[in-house]
Amino acid sequence: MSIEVVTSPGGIEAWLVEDRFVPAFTMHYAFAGGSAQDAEGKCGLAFLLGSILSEGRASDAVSFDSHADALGLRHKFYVQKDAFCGVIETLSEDRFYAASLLRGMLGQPLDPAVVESGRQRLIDRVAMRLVDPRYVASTCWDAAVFAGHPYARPIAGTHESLAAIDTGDLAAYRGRVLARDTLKVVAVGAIAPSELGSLLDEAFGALPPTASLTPIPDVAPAAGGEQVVAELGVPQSVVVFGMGAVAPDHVDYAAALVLNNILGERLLEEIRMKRGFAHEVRSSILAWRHTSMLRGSVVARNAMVDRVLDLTRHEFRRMADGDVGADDLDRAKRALIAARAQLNLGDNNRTAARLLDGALAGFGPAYLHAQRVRIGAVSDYDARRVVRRLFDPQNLSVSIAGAPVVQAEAS
Amino acid sequence: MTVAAVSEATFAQEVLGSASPVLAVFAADRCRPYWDMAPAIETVAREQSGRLKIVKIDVDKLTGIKADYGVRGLPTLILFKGGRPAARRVGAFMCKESLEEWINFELIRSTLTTYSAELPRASGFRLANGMEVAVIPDHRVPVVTHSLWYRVGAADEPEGLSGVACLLLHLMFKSRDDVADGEFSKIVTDLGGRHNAAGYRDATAYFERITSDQLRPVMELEAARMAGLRLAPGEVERERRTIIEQRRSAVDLNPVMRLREKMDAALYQDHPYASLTIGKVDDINRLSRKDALRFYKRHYAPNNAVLVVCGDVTEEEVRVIAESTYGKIPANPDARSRQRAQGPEVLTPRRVRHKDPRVVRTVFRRMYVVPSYVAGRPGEPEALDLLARILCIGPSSRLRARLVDTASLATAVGGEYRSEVVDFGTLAITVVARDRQLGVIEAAVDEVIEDIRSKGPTETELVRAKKALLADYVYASGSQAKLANRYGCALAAGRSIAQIEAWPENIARTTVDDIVRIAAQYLEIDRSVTGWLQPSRS
Repeated sequence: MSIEVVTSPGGIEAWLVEDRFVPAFTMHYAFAGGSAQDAEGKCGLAFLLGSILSEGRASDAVSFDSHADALGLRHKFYVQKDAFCGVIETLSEDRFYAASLLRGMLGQPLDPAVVESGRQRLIDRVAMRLVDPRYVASTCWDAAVFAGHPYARPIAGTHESLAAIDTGDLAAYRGRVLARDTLKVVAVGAIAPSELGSLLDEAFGALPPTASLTPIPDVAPAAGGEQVVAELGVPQSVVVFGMGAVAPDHVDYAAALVLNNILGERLLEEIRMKRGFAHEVRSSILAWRHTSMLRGSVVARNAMVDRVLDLTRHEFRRMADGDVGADDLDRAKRALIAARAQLNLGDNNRTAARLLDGALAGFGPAYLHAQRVRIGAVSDYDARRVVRRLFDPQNLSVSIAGAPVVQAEAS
Repeated sequence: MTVAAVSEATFAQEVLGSASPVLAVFAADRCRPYWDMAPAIETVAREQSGRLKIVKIDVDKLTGIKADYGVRGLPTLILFKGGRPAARRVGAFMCKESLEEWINFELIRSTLTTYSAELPRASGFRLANGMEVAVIPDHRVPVVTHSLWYRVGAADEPEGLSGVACLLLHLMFKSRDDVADGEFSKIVTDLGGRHNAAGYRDATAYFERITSDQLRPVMELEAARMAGLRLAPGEVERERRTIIEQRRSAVDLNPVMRLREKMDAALYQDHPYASLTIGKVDDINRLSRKDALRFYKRHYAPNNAVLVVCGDVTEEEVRVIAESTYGKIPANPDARSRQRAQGPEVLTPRRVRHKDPRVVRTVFRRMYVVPSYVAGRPGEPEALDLLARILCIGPSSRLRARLVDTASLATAVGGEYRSEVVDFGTLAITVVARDRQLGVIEAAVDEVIEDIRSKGPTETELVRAKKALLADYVYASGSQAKLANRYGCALAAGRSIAQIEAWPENIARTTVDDIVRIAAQYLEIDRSVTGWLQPSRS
């Protein structure tokens, strides 16, 4: 698989994986900003914008959704903490129409009626999520460890914040954030570089040249707190746990990935395999633009939450004590290297999504290869040095949603 | 003017080099029929602006081009796609509708002709022990998706042992391999691969995604656990607990799933499709190691399995490895699945209500028993695929237009045609209500359904649905996992590679009359169950 960097006549850059396996292509793109740029008191702004753009009406009064549907085009917008993103997938024969449709969606005059119905739908969705322990535990974790920082706010907003947003706010956000200078694009599929160039100009050429983003400070997640955030009448609780980690450009990033993989395997082994306390056990290293963290989750029966927390802390303690063997390291390195050896690929959309993640993190097109090399180079010495610093159970912050049986922690 | 005239100089760029399809109308000012249809041409050009370009070619001036394309009668319409003529017709259309119908039909036909040559295809063979194999080469990246499908699922579970297929699926990952020293799951991960499994009503599938150089060890491992499941003591108990957890989070906590569970039971009655694949809690609690092993011995055999390999590999390579792994396992003459109870026999409208404190939005759901791809007559399942799309899938569906866009009764409409099953398919409609007026929604749904049963869809609706389904088919063909699913599901249900690959053409061939017939016959209230999901006070 080769990745070519294409620059359009209008100066828009994209990564292209030209591939003729099927006569279709997909384009994933992102503007820096995301929900962290939501105006004060109006969280959910970016999310609402993303959910109404395709429902607006083109110049012929027919909705963009309906135009897209007539050709079997797929498209969506989605929002992360640091990015406003979109996907458009089309048969090759309709590629230019797809680009002009995208231009229309991004630049349309916002219709207050469409905004209103989008707001209602979002308020409904948020209400539904408030009884979902997974959503509640994770948004509460963000709120607790990033208190006072834009990362603390939920991407989808709240009933009150959504109600406070008007069409002018949405237009202002769009004008500030959807600009060419922070745009990253990845295209995968049956398209030649020159064609992609004219497509990029058609789709994004009308956007303002520069974004005007509110500066966001760097932040580290607050360490050491436990909270039962929500008593939901459900038989299972969701536990979200985590602590600060290192950013992708940090010298210890590869070691952190390897060590987290070992931790994840051990938690799975102890909590699920050996005891069957939980079906789902996860842990990963996350990097947002202004912070980085190790974050995991467990879905467990209420009565087992206490035991799960004990086991989790115990495994962190084992790691922090340096109980990491050479064979653990070997296995984890092999698994991570293989996962970056294009295992995710062989699927146009997954390939594009994976590469866009890299582009957003500031990497070059060869970053998957570079990461393999860095992971392979993690030595026993690096691992031991990093593990003591990174996995101290004192630093764990925990949020729980459900009806857990938890004893007050003896400190 | 939306319809521009082209010259000798601009023809190459405007017509042959156009990104969108071009309808070239060859005519002359003296040609009366052209003037008769000119308003229709103008309207279509305006409405399809961006998707289709229409140009006029004056044959008295552009004699060279007229000769190049052998134009004699006037007017002649030639539809160009990608610089080549895709369709032609001599003679005017008398109205806008017939012009549009012709254009749409020819566009779909040419999409299909162009694409059928470009889409990945499978080839297949059978091992001496009866195991079926399909290979879909994909050389984009050095990765292979290996999937093994057993022709047995939750619908084949004996009475009182619901959930045994799912338990066995879990236990398969616990099978120990002494050569590689470890459990299946761990060994595959250590090889750098990923694995997954899925339990369906009529099939159970195991997937591994590995770099292509690891195909042999993975096939050896998969064959080893087909030949003999080796379990450490205590595994059954642990996996049973995990499944109960899984059921809790996937079903018990999810009011929509609880409604579905009740509706399936009401719709299928005595037929095994009546219960969810994960099983009933009471049954799961009773399952023993012996139950799991008996089920395994009876159904897991090469002559009851289908292998689908998609990725950076050739048919010959797969054949060589398959013969030396799966090929060594003797067939089990007693391996039998698919001995199903008949039913549902009592055809009468059924109704289910589920009240739950966790419900935030009330939901209306309707399901019909319809033919599946296996049990349906030729053309029926394709007509149902299109009908489902026109009725309830996508932003332009009839039900969405009626319930969301016009009446504001609902916030969302969705649906699905579950088609790759052995005995019966289902067509399901789901409506998320804005307020709690489920009675009003139900009446509106019934009205829309009655209308489509008597009058059918419009040509435009049908063409849109065809294009959307064909596009979905092409997109899915770009994913190894989805290709493995497409072939695996259908082959396990008993269909052939040729039948699977004829789907796009069958879709293209379906007519409005086919849809009317299928809707009138199967969207009959007696074949349905209606479900209401409502909030209750906790």
